[in-house]
Amino acid sequence: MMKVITGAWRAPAAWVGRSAVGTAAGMGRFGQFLAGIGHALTDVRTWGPALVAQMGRIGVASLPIALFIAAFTGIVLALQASYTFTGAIPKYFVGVLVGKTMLLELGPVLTGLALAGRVGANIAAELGTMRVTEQIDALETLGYDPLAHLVVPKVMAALIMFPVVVAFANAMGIVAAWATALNLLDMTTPEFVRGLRLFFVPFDVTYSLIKAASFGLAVATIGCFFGFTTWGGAQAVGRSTTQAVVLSSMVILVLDAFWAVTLL
Amino acid sequence: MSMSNEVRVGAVLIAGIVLVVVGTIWLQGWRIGREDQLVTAWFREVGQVQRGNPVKLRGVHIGRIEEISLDAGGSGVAVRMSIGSDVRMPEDPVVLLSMESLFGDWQAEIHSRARFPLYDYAVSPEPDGIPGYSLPDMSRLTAVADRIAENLAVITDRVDIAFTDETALNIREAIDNIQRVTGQLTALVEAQEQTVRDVAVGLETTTETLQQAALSASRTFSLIETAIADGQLASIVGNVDRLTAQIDTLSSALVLVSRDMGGVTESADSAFASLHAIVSALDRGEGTLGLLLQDTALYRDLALTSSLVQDLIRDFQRNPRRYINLRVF
Repeated sequence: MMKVITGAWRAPAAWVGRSAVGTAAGMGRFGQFLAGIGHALTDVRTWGPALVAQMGRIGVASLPIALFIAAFTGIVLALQASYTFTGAIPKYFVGVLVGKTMLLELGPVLTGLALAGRVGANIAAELGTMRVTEQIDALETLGYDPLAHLVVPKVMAALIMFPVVVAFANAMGIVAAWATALNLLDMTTPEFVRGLRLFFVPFDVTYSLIKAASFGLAVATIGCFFGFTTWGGAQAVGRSTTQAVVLSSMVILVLDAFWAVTLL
Repeated sequence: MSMSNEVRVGAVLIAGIVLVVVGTIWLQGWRIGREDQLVTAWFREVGQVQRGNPVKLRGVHIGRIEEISLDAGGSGVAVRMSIGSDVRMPEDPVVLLSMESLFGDWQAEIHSRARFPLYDYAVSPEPDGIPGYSLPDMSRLTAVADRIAENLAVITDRVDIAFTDETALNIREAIDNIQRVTGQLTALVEAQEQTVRDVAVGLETTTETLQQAALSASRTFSLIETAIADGQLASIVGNVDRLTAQIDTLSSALVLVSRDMGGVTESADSAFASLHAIVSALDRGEGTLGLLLQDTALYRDLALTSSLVQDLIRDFQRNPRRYINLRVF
């Protein structure tokens, strides 16, 4: 077999082989990492005290950027809906579109992508730096579980705070669209509220929060994994950070489709 | 970690939870503190109605649809609605499901059955359930309109085939004929108008006559009634009764006579037998009379004798002295 693949085909075949092996090894390491997190979850006394601090850093500190994105998303959504719904379609459908779109899609996904950049990068850079400066190795040497100390609080904080941030973002987007409708689209509050309530079902909120929690879990876990597995110098930290943000964003979109298929 | 960070995180968490709960309640249209009454309406099918759709009474939003469930038997759909406790239902209420607009939003409207009596409402299996009917949605209306359009297209094609220039001319001639016939009918009607008027007069006269006859009959009946009341009829009946008794007596007498008629008949029969024997003897020429009847010579002799006697009598009358010579002394 090796004799058959010669000459010009040798390099691409080797690349595919290396990639496959690298991917399999990465997945193996990620599985091992997840198993370690699962094991560390039982050590509540270690990660519990650090949880609130991480919730502050990941959740509360992310609120401004999330609200900013949501506000302008709501404004644009209302204007584009009004631009699209011309003629026979009544104005209150602006409320329908804003409510459904913010709750089901744009609120969780845009917030998730924004937090993937902010939180995922932050986590990957922090843990990567700790790894390359051998602080994590020191913890291991001292007999501490670095996963329980460094990873689990971040993952749990993201799991809890992403839905909270998304809830605020949803509300901000709707309020911004409401203000836009009143001031720029000559709509009345009863019209907008009628549209908001027209096809609303409580599951829309549940769906939005489920998506947000899954995005938080993915962003934190991927950020921690790439930071935790950084190997090299400062350049490796940057590479891990970039990989964490890119992969988190991709996973958010994949999860978005997954939940749409499974829950809607 | 500072206390302020903990407070900030706690406040954000609580605010987030409150936001989710209150936002959900608000978007669902619930009003906290309002007491609702739950009403169940039954339908054969519910179209595009969903949980949360509005419930209206006379166009006023009074509640929302809480639950839609299939009947355990599968024969209908139960729609549970929450409406304000101060809402008074109309007499004999029914629920109509209809499109609120042309864009897929539906509503439940509570009406009195008297307002829409012709709909085929589902019968509620519960005593306090409300009968309901779901109006057709846009897709069904469109389907019906599509069928109607197809039928119209077929009719149009057939009209195109059938309606040639010749057909148009024929129709025009037919219209002319109809106009002519109409004119003739009008003339006929005018001509018959006097006849009809005469018949009407005759009918009026007949009616008056009948009325008079009815009055006479009425008077007669009143006389009869008076007679009955005065006892004259009783007297007539008594007379008839007596007459009947006399006829009865006469009948008895006739019975007796008929019994005696047996003996008379026997005597007559015997007399007729004797007469028959005499006649038979005469017929056979027996006896003097028989010989007289049967023997013509004797008849002739007897006639001759009679003639001679007559001659003798005439001669005697003319010449009595020839035969009588009376001497006195």
